[in-house]
Amino acid sequence: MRILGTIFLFVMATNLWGQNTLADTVKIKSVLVNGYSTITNQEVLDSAILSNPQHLNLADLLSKKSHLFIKSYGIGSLATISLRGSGSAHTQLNWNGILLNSSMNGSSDLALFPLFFMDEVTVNYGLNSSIDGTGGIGGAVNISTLPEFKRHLELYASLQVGSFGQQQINAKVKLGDEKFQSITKIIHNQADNNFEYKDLTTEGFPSKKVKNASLLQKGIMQNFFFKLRKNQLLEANLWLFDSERNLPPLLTLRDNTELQEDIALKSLIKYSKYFDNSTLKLTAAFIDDQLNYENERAGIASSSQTKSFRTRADYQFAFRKIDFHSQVKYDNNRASADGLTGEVKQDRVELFVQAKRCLTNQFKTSLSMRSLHVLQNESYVLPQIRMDYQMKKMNLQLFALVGKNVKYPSLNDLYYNPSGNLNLKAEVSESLEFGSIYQKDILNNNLKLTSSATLFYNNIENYIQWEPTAFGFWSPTNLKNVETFGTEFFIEVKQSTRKVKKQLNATYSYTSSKNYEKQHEFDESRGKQLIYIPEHKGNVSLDLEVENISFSANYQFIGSRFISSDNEEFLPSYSLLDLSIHKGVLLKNKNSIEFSTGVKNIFNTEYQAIEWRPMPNRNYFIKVGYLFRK
Amino acid sequence: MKQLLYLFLMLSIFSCRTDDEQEESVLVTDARVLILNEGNYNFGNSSLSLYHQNENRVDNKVFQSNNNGRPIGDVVQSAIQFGNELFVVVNNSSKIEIVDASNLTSITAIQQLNSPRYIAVASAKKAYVSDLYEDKLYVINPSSHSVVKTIETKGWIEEMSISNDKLYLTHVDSNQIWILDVTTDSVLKKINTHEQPQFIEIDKHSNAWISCGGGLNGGKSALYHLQTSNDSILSVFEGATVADKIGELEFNSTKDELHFLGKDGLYEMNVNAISLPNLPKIGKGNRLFYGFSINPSNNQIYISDAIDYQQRGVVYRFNYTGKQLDAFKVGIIPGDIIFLD
Repeated sequence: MRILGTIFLFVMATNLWGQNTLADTVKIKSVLVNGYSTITNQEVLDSAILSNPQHLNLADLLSKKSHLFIKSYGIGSLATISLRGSGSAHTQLNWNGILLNSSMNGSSDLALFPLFFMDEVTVNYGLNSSIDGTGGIGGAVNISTLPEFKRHLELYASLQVGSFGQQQINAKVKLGDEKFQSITKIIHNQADNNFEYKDLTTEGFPSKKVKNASLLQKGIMQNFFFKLRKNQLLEANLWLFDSERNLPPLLTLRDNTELQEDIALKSLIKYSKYFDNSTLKLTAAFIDDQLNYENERAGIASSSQTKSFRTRADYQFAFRKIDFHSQVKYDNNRASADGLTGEVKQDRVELFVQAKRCLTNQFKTSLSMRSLHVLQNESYVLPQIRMDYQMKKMNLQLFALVGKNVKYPSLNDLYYNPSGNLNLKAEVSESLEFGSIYQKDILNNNLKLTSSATLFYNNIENYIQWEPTAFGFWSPTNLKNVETFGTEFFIEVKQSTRKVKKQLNATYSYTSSKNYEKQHEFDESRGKQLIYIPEHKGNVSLDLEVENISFSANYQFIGSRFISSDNEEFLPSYSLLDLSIHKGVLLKNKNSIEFSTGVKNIFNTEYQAIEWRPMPNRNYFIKVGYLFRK
Repeated sequence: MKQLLYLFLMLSIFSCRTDDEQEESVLVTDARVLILNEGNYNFGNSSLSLYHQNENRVDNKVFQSNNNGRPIGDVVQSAIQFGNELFVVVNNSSKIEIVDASNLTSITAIQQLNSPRYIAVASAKKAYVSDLYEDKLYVINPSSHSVVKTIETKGWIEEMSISNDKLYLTHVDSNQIWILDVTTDSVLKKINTHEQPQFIEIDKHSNAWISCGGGLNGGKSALYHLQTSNDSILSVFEGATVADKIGELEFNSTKDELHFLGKDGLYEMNVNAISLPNLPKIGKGNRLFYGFSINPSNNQIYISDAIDYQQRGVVYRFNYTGKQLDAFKVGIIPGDIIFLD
């Protein structure tokens, strides 16, 4: 009943907003292919949002701006995604269409992705993620670099300093003309992260400072874009990133030196050709991730490396009023680590075909089929149907999707020594989702309103979970059968006049993610929420721009999260508010200088996202940037 | 603005799950059974549960309740009673918490150890503490709560026992049993075993029984019977297959019947037996037997079950013939069970 109540109240809230106004940056994107228009319920976060210094990294941004729940071990520490009640390996992170998730553990650490390296971030929820590949049972996050073909030279440098010894230097060189563009970006980021916290593990709860939490991150990114002819684009991207992080111990542990170094080399080449009635895109990437780990107390120094060669070819064309999208992917993943015997390999092929057709002016449908073939192993066929119904007079679009997805076990799941489990089955999900999108332009007020509401249901069979064995090591098993369902609301109101831009957006999600297996009579996890998945999450953002001054406020609410599978233990809910102000000054010769300052966690909320791992209290930053243009 | 407030309000309505469960302190008067809940490694969710046998009642998180809300730490591995003091080894918190056995309030702690596992008491002034990472054995003075010295061991040590003024320790990394003179701390002998010797108990003849897990590379489990008067091996019992594991060991009150955790449950074996038992005394079925203890005063068997390692576990109580008497819920990953004097 509480869920129904929630939905009802939010529908009411949507209506109230509908009568009033305002706006945000999360957009509902239109994809137009040869006359067939499908509005997907994906979030697009553009460069204006990414450049807001309030957002520390990809993890921080997505936590504030999307329905994603980020499981963060501390400021700058490991941050993994949970989307729609699924686990960290169930959301795919793609870079210009190529998967970045580790082939070893199946997930990605969002703290290793500086926003400065991205021009656009999109989130595809649930089945929408299958356009880029399998495995995104929760969804997919796509990060991309975008060119701007014009004759120019831009040099940009900025310095941002903040509390806890945070210091970030960014530099960028953009140059090119109508046919060629080069973008070079450099980042140097360091922090002590020695914030103060209340030690709840010591009697009297004294204040202490976090130790061993410093980080040093350096990176360079180079993009080249060539317009070979009018209808051909060739791009080459290189991403080098080195991150050294001290891992602060749990509050209940003694001081220790624990270090993690992540070295990433990502390279990608993409060729696109646009014909009159079709598009061809070919992408090839080589991803090399190395992780070095040291633990002084345990006397451990270990290293692991994954190398992946990942390719995809997309061909979109129209035939007899039907829009087709076909795709072939081939991934070769290799991994070597102390915990693996020799080098382990996995070759995967994915085939995809999608047909979209307008049945009437209002009613559209799309059928797709994706198959995953793990070479020398199993194959999976994954159908999907989508229907859209447009009620133009009411500015309303209704959509429904039903389909299957699969997450094949990671290399660690299968081969880790001694506990890898070669008998693991792939996790298979059956999903159903439907919803509505409402868009209205109120022209005399320069107002634009967009809202969406989605209901989803997901049944994940063979849910993989690592658990300790009675003989000392952990091993993965297909332990659970998980059902998730929930609802997502999104509202954006924008108003812009010549002098003032206002923008408000709000998101809310309710997520139920429950296990339906029971081991024996004393197992009380059946029908209970999975651990570390909040039932309630919401964000509200407000952006105001008056001439060259902009103001941004981001509020996020994370509901309580159970930390035991019988739901007897939980971490309390928390809310955070971040504020920032930005001023741009246009100088002579089109050069400009920018100043930003802000305060994060303004309420000084004490909270733990993970039990016994303190999170930063109120903190401040200031940023100066200079842009030279020619 | 009104709508904004409305949203905030709603969010707070749907999130009101309060966490201010004030824990009342627990009296220990009639209780005698303490359950050590290991909790998950690096989760800090270890706890102590107290089973009041006469009232058939359980108090959970008793350490936290009796110590102003302070949690005990990460991975409570083992505990021993020394007089009216309980020495609780908190493995990943690198400490031995010394607790008043009558009211479970903390007296002090021996801090800055590395990764302590087990304690063996030699005398009022000498006890040994094994360690996972330190490559050393700590020698502590249990009366003064201090570390006296360390002994180089170069490797991971698990359980230890003392018999005939000698310390028998399981040296996991080298697959050996080391024998030390308790007076001089010098190594008297090293005996090679199967892989991963881990548990050790002393029988009524003062002889030692050691179980080896078989290691992580497909080795077989084995049980060693050692004569402590001359430190010779009396017999070695090997598991029939790799799956036939031999885990934790405990004796009954008369120390003539050895019990161990194995593939299908809890097994019993007489000290004079010439082979391993084929069938378990208590079959585990779909339960997950994680640890066990036998009450020396009445031979009742307590077996802990970690279920899925993410929820409060359960402890089953059996009479000595293996008939289940009852079961009660405790904390996350219950391991060892201690019977307080």
